[in-house]
Amino acid sequence: MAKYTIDPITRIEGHLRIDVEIEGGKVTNAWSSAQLFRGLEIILQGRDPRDAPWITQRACGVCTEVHALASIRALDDAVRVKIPPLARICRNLVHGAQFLHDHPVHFYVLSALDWVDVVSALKADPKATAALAGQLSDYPNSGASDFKAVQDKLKTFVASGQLGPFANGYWGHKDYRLPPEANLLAVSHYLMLLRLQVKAARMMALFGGKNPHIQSYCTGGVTCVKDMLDVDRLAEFLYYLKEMQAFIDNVYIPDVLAVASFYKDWGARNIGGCTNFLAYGNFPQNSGRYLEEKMFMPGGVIMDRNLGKIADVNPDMITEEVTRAWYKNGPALPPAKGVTQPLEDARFDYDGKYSWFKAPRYNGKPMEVGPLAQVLAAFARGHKPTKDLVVAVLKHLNVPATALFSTLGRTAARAIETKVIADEMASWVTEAIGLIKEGKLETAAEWKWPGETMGYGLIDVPRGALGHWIHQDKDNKIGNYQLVVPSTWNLGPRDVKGQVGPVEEALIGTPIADPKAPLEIIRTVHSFDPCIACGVHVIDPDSNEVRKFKVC
Amino acid sequence: MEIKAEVLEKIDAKGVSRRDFIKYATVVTSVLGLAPSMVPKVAEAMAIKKRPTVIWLHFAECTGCSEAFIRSTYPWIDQIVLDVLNVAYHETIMAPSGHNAEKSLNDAMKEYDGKYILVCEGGIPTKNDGIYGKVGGHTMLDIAKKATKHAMATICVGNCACFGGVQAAAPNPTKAMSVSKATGVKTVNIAGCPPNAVNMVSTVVHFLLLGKLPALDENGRPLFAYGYTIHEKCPRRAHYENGEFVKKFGDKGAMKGYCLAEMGCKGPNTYNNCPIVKFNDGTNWPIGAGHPCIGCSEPNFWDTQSPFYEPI
Amino acid sequence: MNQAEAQEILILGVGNVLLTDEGVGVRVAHELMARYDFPPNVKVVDGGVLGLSLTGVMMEARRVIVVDAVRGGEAPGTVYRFDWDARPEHIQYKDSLHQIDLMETMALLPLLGDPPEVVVIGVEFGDIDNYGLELTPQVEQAVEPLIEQVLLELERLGYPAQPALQPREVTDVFGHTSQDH
Repeated sequence: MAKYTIDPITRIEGHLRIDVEIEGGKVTNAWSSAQLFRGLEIILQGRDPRDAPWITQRACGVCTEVHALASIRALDDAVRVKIPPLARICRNLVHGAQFLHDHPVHFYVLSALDWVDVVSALKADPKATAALAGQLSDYPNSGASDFKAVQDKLKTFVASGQLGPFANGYWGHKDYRLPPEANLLAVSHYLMLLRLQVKAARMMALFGGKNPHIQSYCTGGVTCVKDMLDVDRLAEFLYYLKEMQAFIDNVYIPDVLAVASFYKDWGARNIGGCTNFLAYGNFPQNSGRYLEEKMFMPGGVIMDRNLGKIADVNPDMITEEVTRAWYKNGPALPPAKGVTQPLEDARFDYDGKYSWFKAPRYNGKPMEVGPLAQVLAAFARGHKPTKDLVVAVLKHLNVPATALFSTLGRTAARAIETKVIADEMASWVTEAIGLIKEGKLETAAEWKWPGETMGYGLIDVPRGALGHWIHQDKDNKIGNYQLVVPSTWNLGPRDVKGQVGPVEEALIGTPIADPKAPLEIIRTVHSFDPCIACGVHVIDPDSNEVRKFKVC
Repeated sequence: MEIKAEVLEKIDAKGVSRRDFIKYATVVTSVLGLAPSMVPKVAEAMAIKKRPTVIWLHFAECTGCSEAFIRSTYPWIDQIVLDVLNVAYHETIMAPSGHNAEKSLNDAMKEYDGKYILVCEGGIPTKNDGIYGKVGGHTMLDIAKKATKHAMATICVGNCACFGGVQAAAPNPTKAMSVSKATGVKTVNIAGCPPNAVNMVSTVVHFLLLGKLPALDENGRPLFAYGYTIHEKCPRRAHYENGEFVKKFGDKGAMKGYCLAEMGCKGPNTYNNCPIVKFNDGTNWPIGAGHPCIGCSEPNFWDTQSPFYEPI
Repeated sequence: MNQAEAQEILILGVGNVLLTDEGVGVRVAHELMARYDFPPNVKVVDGGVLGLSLTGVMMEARRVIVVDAVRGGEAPGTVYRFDWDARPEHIQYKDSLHQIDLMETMALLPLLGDPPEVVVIGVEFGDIDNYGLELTPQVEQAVEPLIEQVLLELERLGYPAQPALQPREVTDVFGHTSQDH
């Protein structure tokens, strides 16, 4: 059976290799392999715990902020401090802004070219494009002359002979289904979003200090008291939010629906679908340890696609395995008790070890994490804004709920979650103003070093369920630090039972028109929004230290 | 300022608004420390016909520097990619994967041999012949050696490419190092974690404008951006001089914007233009957000400037 | 008037809607957007607290009508009209960060090229110090007179607005529509 290797997978974060077996025009087997390690957990050991958020934030600059948040939550937990309400809201605003940046960038910059044929856009009729745009929304700058301008720009670019990032694309592939006008519309929106993301980043920087890599969280709260008390910055935040909402409602969501309408068979046949879903929940509405928090986006565990049955998350159910990864074999162990011995030989073995990612499991099962898990959990919990939007999307596309278990469902969920979060954020600003009016200006609670302690921080982030675990020794130094990150859940390898990881499951059954132009595979891989730098495994090549960390 | 009519016409032809363009040229010129009379020259550099080729390689990195780069507003990232530069290889944005992507890289290195600007993001793992980082089956070490050899100039963006970065922090499990150390090639180092978009773009423009790289300090960092410390230009300096310090995050001093020296600020050790340019179009910067500077543009800052909350 | 040679006119409502009367300029802009149709060369913009970011849109116009809260020393709700270049001395800064932004913005315009002529239609504020999403009663009562002043200004310039057949829904940053008032 023919095996095909796709390496590098581009338009992701980090370095990923995908191998597939194709037979009868379909993927019959798949292997997902992380190609980079950095070893952050070893680096964290022995350091001041308060440095951890800044080190771990460098796990990823695309999903910036998220590790700083999970880390600071782990630190808060370790010293058992409750953060003041104004700080809680500040973190929610910054974290929310990250979704408003990350998800649209993912759709347009990282995945649009999987569905949009740029070359076809050159043939579009600008007038018809404007008519199409008008049907979808009344977003400004969407007239015939605007689309002609984009088309002319593209033509000039192509005529220059220097095709840059568009060179060697799969243009003309059979499975590009959008008509030229839809392609031109999408390309215009891509260019619009490239400029708009600058504003989403400014939104984050108002309270985060800068983007990428914010610098305003601290154990017990946040440092940006001056910014939080600045009424002009609060207003500026709202103006940027409004602009992002206008784009999400009038461009992002209509575009996702437009693309989905051409690929309904992917939904009907559950192409790219997984089985089990895990979401930790997001945007705490009160302060306390994870199990005491009430979340705006409620999390949960869904098994076997059963939306009628949702369980609470039990962190003790999380284990990691190395049977098919480049480490010495051992039993499945919880993150805090891991054992790791990296192998000298990192040869790719289809029947053996083939990745630097470990295989996280929940109660022994592989779990999809990410927007689809987050939306399904909220849906199953009866979270009204999410439920209403999911129902509206399904109705618009005239597809059943089962269509959600697919690449299309995952892509739509990303857009749905963006809107749900965006629509709620203004009320958090109102809440903040209420606190300020009442004189509740505290932004960082006092705390004391508690001696030896352990803590963990769990939160949903744009790519999915993220957890940091910290053990602080009696000298107030990091004894052990673990991360179990979304992309490792999603893009990790098989386990000892041979259960494939989520992306591997998703790829099996995908129809492939041309193995040399693996567009269909790339679509599904991209739908997980991979971040490989995050999922990198810790190795300690020299010592045979029995320690296992998952660190980004 | 007098910008030649032909230059403005070329800009019109590229669909760039003249106002945007003039604003950009002015911003970059001032960041570069050039006299206002240089604005027309900068404008000309941006309007040249055949776009210079950039090959952008990712090694052991987090992609924060690419993200920082696309925050540029003068010029906008779409202008950079469509009008100003020929970005022949950039894994985060390019259409093809796998073999087709490799083709783009190989074609560009061949066609523009000796003529492309190489931008490197990420450190190079070197332990065990570099097996800890691979792209398309090749080690990052091999890729870096080949690409730097055939480049007209190599610009490193971010602390990882410039100095080794977070993976090189003690005990450096994969023996990660800077591109220049791994390849032996002298590089221009736009330091920071990540660097300011304005500094990245300005350096490229400087090169296009003057045909040579900007004046560098002993760490390879352009002096126009890294010639003075945070402390020298800090807007909270008066508080420092007056002995007004934040004692706890969120205290009365923090509300008044007092100096963060006692909270661990590494501003006096750190060369960068953050207080002046700030981040995200002047929106904010760490000290402005009440958090001490962690020295992210300094070599090995993860070790030399930590613990971040212990005062100097 | 020949539309091909029509001057670009910008009606710019500025201020911070979170600070009670400081948001009156934005409120007026929203009322105009909701209830009137304008000739193609006239733009109405909610400039909010965007300060220096407004230089671009201001420089595209030949005439700018700024609507804002001002301190003139008269009773709250008093409506003023003055040319920026000839602003009366008794009209003072509001002493808010936002106002300083507007001052800076205005100062920068000549450096960017040929600046527009700016006229300010202002109203004496009652309260700009406290958080609040509603205008104080005297300033609320000045909203219609402010709208009238703007419309009069447009007439004077030869580009009158017409009442819209159907009022539009215009939402502010909190999602309140002009119909909520």
